[in-house]
Amino acid sequence: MGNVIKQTNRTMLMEVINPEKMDLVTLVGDVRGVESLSDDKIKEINDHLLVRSFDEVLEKFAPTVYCYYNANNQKVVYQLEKPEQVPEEMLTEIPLNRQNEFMGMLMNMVDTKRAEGMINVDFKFEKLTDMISPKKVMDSIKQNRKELQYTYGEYAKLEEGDPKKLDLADKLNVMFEEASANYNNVMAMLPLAIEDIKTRLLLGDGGNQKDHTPLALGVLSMGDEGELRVLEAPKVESTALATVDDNVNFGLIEALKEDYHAINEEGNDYVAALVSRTFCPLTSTMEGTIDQEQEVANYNSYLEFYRESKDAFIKTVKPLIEKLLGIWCYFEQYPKKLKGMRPSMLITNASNETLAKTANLSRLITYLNTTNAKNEFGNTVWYAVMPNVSLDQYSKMKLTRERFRGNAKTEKTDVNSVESLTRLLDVFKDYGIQCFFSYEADDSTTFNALATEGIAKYEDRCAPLMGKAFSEYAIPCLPNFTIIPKDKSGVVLDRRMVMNPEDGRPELSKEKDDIMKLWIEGVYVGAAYVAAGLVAAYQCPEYLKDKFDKVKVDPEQPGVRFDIEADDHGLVVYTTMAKEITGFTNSIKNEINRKNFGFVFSSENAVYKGNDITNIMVYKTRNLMSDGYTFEPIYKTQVTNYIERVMRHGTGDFKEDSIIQFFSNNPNSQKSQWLSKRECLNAVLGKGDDVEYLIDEENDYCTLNITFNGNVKNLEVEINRLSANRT
Amino acid sequence: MKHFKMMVVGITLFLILNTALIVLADSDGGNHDKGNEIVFLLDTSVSMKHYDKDKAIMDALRQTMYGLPSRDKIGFVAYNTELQAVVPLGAGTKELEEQLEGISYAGYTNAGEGLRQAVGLFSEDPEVDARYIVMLTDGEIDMPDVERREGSRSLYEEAVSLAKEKGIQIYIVAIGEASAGRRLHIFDGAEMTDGAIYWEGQSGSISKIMSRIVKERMKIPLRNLTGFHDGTAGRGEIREEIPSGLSRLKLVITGNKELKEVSVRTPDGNEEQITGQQFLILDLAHPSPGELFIRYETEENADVEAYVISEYTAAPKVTVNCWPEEVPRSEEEVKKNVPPVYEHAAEAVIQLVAATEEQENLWEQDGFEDREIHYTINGTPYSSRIQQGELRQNLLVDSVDELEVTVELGETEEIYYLQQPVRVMIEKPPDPVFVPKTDYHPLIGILCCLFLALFALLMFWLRKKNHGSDSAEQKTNLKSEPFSGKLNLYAVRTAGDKEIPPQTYRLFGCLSGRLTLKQVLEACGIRLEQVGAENIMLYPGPNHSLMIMDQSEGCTVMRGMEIVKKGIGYPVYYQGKITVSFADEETEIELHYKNLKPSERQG
Repeated sequence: MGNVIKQTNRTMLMEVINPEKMDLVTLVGDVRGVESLSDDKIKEINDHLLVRSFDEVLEKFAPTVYCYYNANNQKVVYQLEKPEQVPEEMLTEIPLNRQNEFMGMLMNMVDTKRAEGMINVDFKFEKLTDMISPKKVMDSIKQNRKELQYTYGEYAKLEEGDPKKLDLADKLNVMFEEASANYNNVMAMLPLAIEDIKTRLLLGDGGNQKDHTPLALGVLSMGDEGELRVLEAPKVESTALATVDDNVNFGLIEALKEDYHAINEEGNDYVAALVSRTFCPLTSTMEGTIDQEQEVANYNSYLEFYRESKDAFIKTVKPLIEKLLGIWCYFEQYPKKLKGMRPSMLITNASNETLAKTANLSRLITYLNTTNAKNEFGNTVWYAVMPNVSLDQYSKMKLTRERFRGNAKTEKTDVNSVESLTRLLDVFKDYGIQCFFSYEADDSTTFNALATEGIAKYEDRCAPLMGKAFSEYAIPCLPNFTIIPKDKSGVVLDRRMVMNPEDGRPELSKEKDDIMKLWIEGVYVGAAYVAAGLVAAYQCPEYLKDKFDKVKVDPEQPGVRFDIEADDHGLVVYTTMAKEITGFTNSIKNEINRKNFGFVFSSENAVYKGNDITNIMVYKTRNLMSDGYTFEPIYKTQVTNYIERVMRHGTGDFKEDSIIQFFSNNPNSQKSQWLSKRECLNAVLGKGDDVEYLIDEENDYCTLNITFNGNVKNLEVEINRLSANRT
Repeated sequence: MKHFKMMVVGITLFLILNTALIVLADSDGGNHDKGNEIVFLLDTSVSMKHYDKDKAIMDALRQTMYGLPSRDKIGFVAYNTELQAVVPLGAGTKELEEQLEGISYAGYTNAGEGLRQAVGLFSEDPEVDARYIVMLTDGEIDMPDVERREGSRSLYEEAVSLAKEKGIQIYIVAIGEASAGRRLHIFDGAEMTDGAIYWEGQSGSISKIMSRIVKERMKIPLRNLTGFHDGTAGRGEIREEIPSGLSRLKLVITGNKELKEVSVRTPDGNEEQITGQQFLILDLAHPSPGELFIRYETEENADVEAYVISEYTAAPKVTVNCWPEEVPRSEEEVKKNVPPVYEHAAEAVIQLVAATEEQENLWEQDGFEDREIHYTINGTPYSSRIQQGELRQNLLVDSVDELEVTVELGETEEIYYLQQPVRVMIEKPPDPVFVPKTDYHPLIGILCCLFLALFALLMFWLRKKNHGSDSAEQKTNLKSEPFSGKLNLYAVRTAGDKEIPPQTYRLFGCLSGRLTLKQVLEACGIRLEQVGAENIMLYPGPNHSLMIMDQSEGCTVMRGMEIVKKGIGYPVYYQGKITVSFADEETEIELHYKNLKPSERQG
């Protein structure tokens, strides 16, 4: 019969990444009278929405923030949706990719924390948060300008007509293009301007130095008595080399100014000079005149504007960044080096609330009818990820009219209502899609909060989702992951500058109020992303081979039956996220174990085969279906769906005689083949498992009793009779 | 009670399944099912000896003869100064082989006599798909003296004219360098009959030319295989999945070098092959489904091609469900006790079954789903798309007692020999007996008393034996089709874009009878005022179907993509989708009809 199902980990994410790009609702289109979509349509949807890596997400969805300036209030405005009323030329598009400083800083944070294996309380978040301060922006430019100066120097040395000069000219063109990214908009110039003024005004300040003697450059020498002295260097003693240096810099300054004016029609000499100063080496002997008071005022206003705009940018972009980090974390769970059943994600690019609207549900159903109700499993969706579910268990969809005015409360934007989750779960259950959901990510749903408050809060929130037909497909994931904790999310940009009343020289203010600081207010990633990523990863036999003894893993079977709670599996298969806290108390763990609630991550001290585990592990993997005492493990649902799909394919849509063959003792029957591999780690039917069938002639139903370690789970399938003349 | 029974009988649908197939005669399904008539005309003059040293011509002829569909009739004529061999159409491969064995090259080129003889072999049957002559010659007509040469030429011209009249196309394979690029008199045959001329060398080897004529000119449905041959390594492997229901399969492999070390494995274990110097043909009659495997070796950089001819013998299978439909009566007619008029509606379900023991439905195979098929029912053309291996057509059948069905498959990669038309008798259920309303007023008093007494007794009985009454009710329900399944409701468009959450209405457990859509909507808490929902009826149908009937004036009801005609009940099966656009032209709902699992039915 062979393994007909080549993937068991396609995941659907109901989030908007870029509203300007296509979304599932639009692509599916009008489904009036249509039960399924054509192959061409599925291909088109995959071309737009299916991704297999984080870089593909950035490429396909090109997440973007739009920025424009409001002259009335002198502020910069950021928006995730493209403002239609603002003309294109007044709009700046800021791509959110790995090169974006805020995004880069957060990804760096996760990587560094993982590498260091430190818990949140010990980790120096500020070391990384200052990556977005003007100083760090300047640092990254320093390397570029060093290369620019060197290359221009080489270029200037060569004679006209030398072929090597042309090569260097090409190289310079590329470098100017990169540099121009900084000086073709004023926002990008701000950190440069801030650092530039600071450097020029405080040259010789030396940080905490108290001496305010005017600067005179000198040389170290020995006096007549042998004492050490710093003597002022004679200005006439400029060497030939220094002259060459000046000539080179002069040429470079002119080239930069010319380029700046060519790009910016309304450019001014101040910025032109700023550009040339920024990209010319400080060792230059070129010098300009400085109006100190004007420069101090400029510095302070730049810094204030920079703080405000950065603050506005972060507030706007944070929800999107959290989604992107979530997707990144999903893909991070599967090692890049492996070449197996790589997890794939279908990003609907439509919000949960949009998809759950009754008019759109029909489109989703038609899509799933095509991918999940056919005997072709390449596009079957197995999981869904729904992060950011409202903690209010009675939350309604936004479109539901409020008849009576309720309590006034601050409304969180971008939170998925429980009503929309319920509607989608009701659809997912019909198509066998397990839905990983997590509650809104903030400081109340972190490891820290769970460790102190316990799990009861989550059980209460999930109560409306229990005891329903879809409960089996609802997997509450907790706690959420902290990238930067709220209380450590302050970023010191710099201090204001003041004129010292005593000596009339500028200096950085020592006042506490003059410290320019902005608050990121915490960055969190929904647990659903990581949970889905890890479960999707261990579906791949290559992944399991990588983690366990290769002999134990069957190369053909997916990891549908892999139970991470069993044996020491949790110590071998764990997330790529770094530990956050020292651990849960025994009483909290007892509380979790009493009911076996949820898909729970743990941040525990653990050692496996002599190695410390510094990553977050999985403690429980349960859905919301309960027998009154305990919740059911998620693998049971996955195996049941897998068996149903294999059986539907292998029995020609449940033909009665084929079902009998499917379960016969013939060594070639599917059941025998599964049982022959029961010793494997990824066996579909493991040790202690069995499957039996019972045909109900009267109702034309076949009931499968699937036994998992002695516990029986039923699956009912409708028999397809060859002769349809029964009434 | 008696009246109630009558009413139940009146609204009960009759299911008549009739799958009797009356095969009348073979007719054209538009898919090469009559076969071609093909005559191979070979010049065996002495000059041809030079070009057929390694028997390449004979090999190419055999390759073509064996590589044609089984219903194609093949004839053969060989000529030099006189006729050397004549094999009539449809004589069989054994006789053809014997004649080919006896061919020797000698004498002149009397093409006129050869072509006259070839044209004379064709039948007058009007239903043949096409007629072809494939002529292999190395040059112009040549005879020992001028008079005989001219005689042969005029004979050739006459034969060409006759061929054109009969619709025979002549393809000429010009062999040897002598004829290459020259304008010869003999080529008129191809030009006048809309045929074609192929020059050996320019158009490829003789084997390749013959293969091209079969593939490009004769329009035989076949499927070219690709990607099986590794030219650098000089070997190839073909793995072909044989589908079920095939009546014949031919797999033809041709190359410009010898095929060696051939290994064949079929699901039947039949390893017989027809081989030549540069070809290999597998001809499997009624092959079992499974994998066909062929491996061969040849020289490096050899050019190898292959194609498959799949033949099915099949017939449409028609099942007719017929039921009486009451023509809606006006209120006045109801008041006046005018008996209702019934018309008979039917749903014809058409499948295409293979003429094998298993009678597989060929439309369930890959590639047919959602394909548009043209067909006729009693001479009226229809077209619809195949859904789940079937075509469904709703009809009014009052004026007919039987259905005559033919289908046309259009262009396919396989050959279908269709046995059609098929005729199916329609068994119409009798109209429900109409019981006129009599004046019951005198009896009402007595009945009321009796009813009250009965009610009191019933209540007493219910209290004492609750389960007893349950079983009685079940018995009543068994007499009519019960509702089954559930309806998922989605309001996809509403007036003022009001959001109505999705709803589920459980039909299973409802008493048999009619429900209006309005009732269903109201049970779900959806109130739509004056949109026509009260005139859309739902009632249980056969085979767990749900019948939907649109009696409204302003609503549009669609079953899948099909608009439901007013006043006719349409069955909807599980997983079916109904779209209702209401009279207010703003509200639109979708109803998804779903099954309930046994465990769900208990709830």
